[in-house]
Amino acid sequence: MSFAFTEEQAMLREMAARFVEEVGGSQAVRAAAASEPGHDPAVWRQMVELGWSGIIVPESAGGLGLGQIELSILAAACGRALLPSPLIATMLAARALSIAGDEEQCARWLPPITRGEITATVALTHPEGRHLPGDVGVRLRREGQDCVLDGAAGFVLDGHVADLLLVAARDGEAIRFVAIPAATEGLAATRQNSIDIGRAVARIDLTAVRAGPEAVLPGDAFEALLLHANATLAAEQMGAAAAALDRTVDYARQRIQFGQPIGAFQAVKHALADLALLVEAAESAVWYAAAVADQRPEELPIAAATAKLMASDALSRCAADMIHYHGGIGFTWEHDAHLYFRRARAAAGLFGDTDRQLAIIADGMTTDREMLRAA
Amino acid sequence: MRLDFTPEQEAFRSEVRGWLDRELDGPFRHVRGMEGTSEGIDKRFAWERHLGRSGWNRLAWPEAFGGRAASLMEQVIFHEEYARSGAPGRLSHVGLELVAPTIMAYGSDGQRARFLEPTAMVDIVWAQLFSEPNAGSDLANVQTRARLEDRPGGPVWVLEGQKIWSSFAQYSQWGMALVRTEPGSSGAKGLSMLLVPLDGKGVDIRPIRQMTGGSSFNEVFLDGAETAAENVLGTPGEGWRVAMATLTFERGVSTLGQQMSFRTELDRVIRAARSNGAIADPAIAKRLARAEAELRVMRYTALRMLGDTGLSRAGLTYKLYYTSWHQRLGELAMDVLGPAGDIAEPGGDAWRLQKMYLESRSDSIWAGTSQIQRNIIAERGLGLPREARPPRQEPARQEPARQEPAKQERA
Repeated sequence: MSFAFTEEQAMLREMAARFVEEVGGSQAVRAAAASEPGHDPAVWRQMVELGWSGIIVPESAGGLGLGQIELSILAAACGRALLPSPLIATMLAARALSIAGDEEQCARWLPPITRGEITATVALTHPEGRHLPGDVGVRLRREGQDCVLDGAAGFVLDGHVADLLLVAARDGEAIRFVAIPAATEGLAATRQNSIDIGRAVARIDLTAVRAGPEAVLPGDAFEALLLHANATLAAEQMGAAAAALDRTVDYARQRIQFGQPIGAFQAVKHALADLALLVEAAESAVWYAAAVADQRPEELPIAAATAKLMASDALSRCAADMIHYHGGIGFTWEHDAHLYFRRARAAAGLFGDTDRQLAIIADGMTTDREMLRAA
Repeated sequence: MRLDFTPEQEAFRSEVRGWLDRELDGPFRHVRGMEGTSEGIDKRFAWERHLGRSGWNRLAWPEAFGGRAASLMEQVIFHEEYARSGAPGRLSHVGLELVAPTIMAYGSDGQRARFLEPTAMVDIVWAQLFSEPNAGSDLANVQTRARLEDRPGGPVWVLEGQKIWSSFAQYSQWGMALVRTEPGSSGAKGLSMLLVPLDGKGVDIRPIRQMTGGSSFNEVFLDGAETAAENVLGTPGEGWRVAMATLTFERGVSTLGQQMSFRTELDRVIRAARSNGAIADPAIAKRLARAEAELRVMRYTALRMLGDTGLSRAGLTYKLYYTSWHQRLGELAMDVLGPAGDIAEPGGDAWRLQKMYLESRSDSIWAGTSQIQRNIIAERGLGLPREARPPRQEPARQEPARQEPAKQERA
């Protein structure tokens, strides 16, 4: 057992950090997020060239065949700069295909995803933001061989620009993912006006959208995908929290009041120490959840919920304190602090809020006592 | 990043588990589950001597000193299995985990030969004599003095002063004392580390009755206590450096064992919440879930620390994290129990939880208060500047090598 990164993982971390540093400046990030697609297509093309669009895609489909640890490494790096890209959305779609798709579906969609020819996303959230299986807002009915989808989903990552949508739909008792190309008739995607101006989310409306049987993923992936989504999102939140803390610490080192850096005052430094606690806790939980996703999927519910819980706590506090300890300048539009604060609020609710994560942990708490030892 | 244990590690685990179960089901079954500071002291020392004879109490020691030179993971496994088996809380850890490594690092060959073996066999139990009434968080403010005097049998150090908060000193034969040996010095300068017999004249050990009712800490009055001149650890004047080294030994794999006792306590709280129905209260259920999540995080952080070289930021945050967790668990336990927790009769779960509630208030004080911990995290972990401090009267004090002065006495 080892909690250290492998040499390859450490290299990936370094490379990702360097890349995000290069392309993730404040002005570039703001401009990209405010643009129509919500990201810079040129940056996404570079990510594709680096292999990121195939990071978790099996080698047989042209991907790098790596795991959640590597995807979390990338998400954490992007999170630091709040760098927008279709990476998470597209990898969640790839994950849904890998878990629930048949060979033909994987062969059809994974290679173009990996090559960056298309981006993809998953639509699994009720328009009002709920995530329980019973909340899925799209219904599937059969008409002969075909199926017809009606309903809506919200908070769909990059949903207004994705070329392929994997739409979660209620099929009787089951929930199936249906692969719908964006150009399909009856499908409308509209970018939503999110408090998080750094991430594009869209509402998807489906009106008698018709799909052939080959579009329906046969497997059951809804719950598993939510867990993977939270493990990945938690990594991104953790990266953002760490950056918010680092930037606040830098400021506290430089800002002089009463003849010394404000970071020398215990009233300030103790508050920042408390943030470090939250960031370290999030980091522990995030890497553990990533390792569990790859190596012990049966533990993923609690591990992913713990990661999401800790990362949400860390980012919420770090972002709020980033504003506060920067003083008035932290309350301006030009300062990035509000971008982190906005991300904190929206990300905490995405794919299940803190109460939902606590409920998952409470469920698991009562069952498996051996888990701690086995960990 | 790998989550599984190797076959060798699993084999080691079965060896440990087999031995513990055999002993604790057999000759030592009466010590199982004993904890605290006064329960079954004689039997527990007999158990600890048995651990010493069997070699299990010094896995980390190098082979040259009679240890097993066990890997970190093996130590982790041992601590987990020890806690799982219900083996009793340890009374001799100051000697084994703090004093012995310091002797290995700074002791002369003669000191190693004289002290390590009996410490391993628990024939010598050690007390740590660092803190004083006026040297708590400001540990370098030591006022206990020692001077060399001639005696017919050779020169001796004569000690005058008062030490406090010494864990289990009432059961100890020797103490490791941080004392001022250069008259007129102040702060970290002019200190020496002396090994002092506690059963001789001039030593008065008085247990302190704590707010829990128990007594794990002691006051130690030194009024002309003597130790041979050779019993200085390192060179005279080097005491601060030796003390700082001792304090770094306290962090280690034993934190994993401590987590197992946290696990036992949290399970006790969950059990109580189920049996009295408190778990149906969503506010209580959420607090329990949070406690569960945070305990898991502690484990992951400890595992990350083991993989790190040097003291990482994660390592620096560890004590503050578990301290506040443990205090909140105490509060949660009492909220789960409700008024019934206030009138618990000795022996049951509710009584143990009430004890934990009271006991946990010490967590934020010992081994570096939570305020000292935040200074350490901010200054060493985040690189924030030190707060301006008024100068001491006498020469400026040296920066500690790795860590703030911090009281670290606690078994």
